[in-house]
Amino acid sequence: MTMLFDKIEDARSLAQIVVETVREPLLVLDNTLTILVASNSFHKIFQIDPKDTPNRPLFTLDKGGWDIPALHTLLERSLVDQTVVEGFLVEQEFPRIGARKFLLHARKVLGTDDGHALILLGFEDITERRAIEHEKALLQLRTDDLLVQKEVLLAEMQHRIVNSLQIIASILLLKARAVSSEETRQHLQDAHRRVMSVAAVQQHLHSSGRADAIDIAPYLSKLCESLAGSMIGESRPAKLTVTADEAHVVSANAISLGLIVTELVINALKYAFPDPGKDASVKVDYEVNGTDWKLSVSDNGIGRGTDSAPPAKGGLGTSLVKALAHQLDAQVETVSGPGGMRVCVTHATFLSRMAV
Amino acid sequence: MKGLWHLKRRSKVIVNMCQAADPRTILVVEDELFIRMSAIATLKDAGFWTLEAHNSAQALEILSRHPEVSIMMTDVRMPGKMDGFALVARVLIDYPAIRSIIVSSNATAAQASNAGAFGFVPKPYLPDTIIQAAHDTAVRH
Repeated sequence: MTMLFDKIEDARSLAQIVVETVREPLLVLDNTLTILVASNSFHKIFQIDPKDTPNRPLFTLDKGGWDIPALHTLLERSLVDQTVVEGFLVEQEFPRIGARKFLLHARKVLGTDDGHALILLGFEDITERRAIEHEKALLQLRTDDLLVQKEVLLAEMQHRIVNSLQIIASILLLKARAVSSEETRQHLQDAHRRVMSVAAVQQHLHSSGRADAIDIAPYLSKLCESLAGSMIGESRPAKLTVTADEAHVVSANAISLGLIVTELVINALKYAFPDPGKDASVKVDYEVNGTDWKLSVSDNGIGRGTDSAPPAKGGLGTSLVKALAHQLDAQVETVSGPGGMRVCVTHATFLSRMAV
Repeated sequence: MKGLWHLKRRSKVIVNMCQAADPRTILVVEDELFIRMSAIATLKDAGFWTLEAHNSAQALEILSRHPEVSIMMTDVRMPGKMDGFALVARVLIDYPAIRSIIVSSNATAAQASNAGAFGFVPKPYLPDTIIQAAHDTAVRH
């Protein structure tokens, strides 16, 4: 019998040691909700003197500061319904530690020697976690708001750029109508085509939903369609075709490539086919090999060196092509013969130079 | 150009007599002066008779006085209470015979169609593009 009492006492001591050492605040209450044992963490977190807890009714603790209605509800539910209560949220201004948020976990456990129940009451401090979650939610809202603002600004910028280009193009066309010199009119119309070439990049950036890169094949096709629309007709019949590898080009480079194509196609259509009845053909080709690329514009016209061709020293168009190619770190090479002319703009490294 | 002016003046006289819509009379609504001027010049050269407005309110005022208008070509973003979409929707109710073409840099063809427009031309556009759009609309009128 004595051994049995010793074993019970040992078990009780062990239970008390376990309760006292757990990291989360923990109370053991009897069925009158009087504190039997409190964990060290409970004393530490709630800043309560360990001498004040044993045999003290929970709701009188800290001069009644623990007389919390929500706590009454939880413990009564635990005692009466014999249920396990998990994650019962209590937001309370505690006497010593101020406003805190706790999740309470209560469980009715084995009876005491006289058959009465015990309640284990655990506290999970979620004050900081909730504060962080709240801050995170606010940050997410702010980020979403900034993203919307960015989209709006981008759309606004896009609209203004395109509208400005349309205004410039309109002024050039109005001026082209007003001048009496045919040569000046041609220059103004060429300038209009250059503006539209830059505008085509903007249109593609807008339609692709990207602000940094352009899918080069549809861009060149659309650009040449636009050039053909303004330059090829009954008085100047010709076929303009585009072949291009699948590649993305940063928008700044796309503008330069577009302007080069514009200049070379204008030159070809203007000077390569003095005989309108000829089966004229201009081909634009863009090839990619790793980081290298080659843009070529070729025609089956009369080639350079005839009366209708641009001067050998090069006009504005030729200078522009050279300057734009330099900007792209590319080389320009022109091959001309009786079968036509071919201008290649090649960007190649020393390691993998492409054949021109 | 001179010939077109004569045609236009003669057309107006006929309109006043019989109040009929003319399939080649276009109202261009655009707040940017140079874009509007260029569009008007382009359409006139292509044989259309044109009227112009710089915002939606002025467009509605012109439409109330010019029953000969059969096509309206309008920008979307313009000063005033009514944008191009709202203008197209209003014209569809008040003047169901008029067909609208939306010209815009920031709208889509789907948005234009939802507003009740017959055609859509994205900016920036070539002169031939608006001529073609106007021609297609006139032919189907």
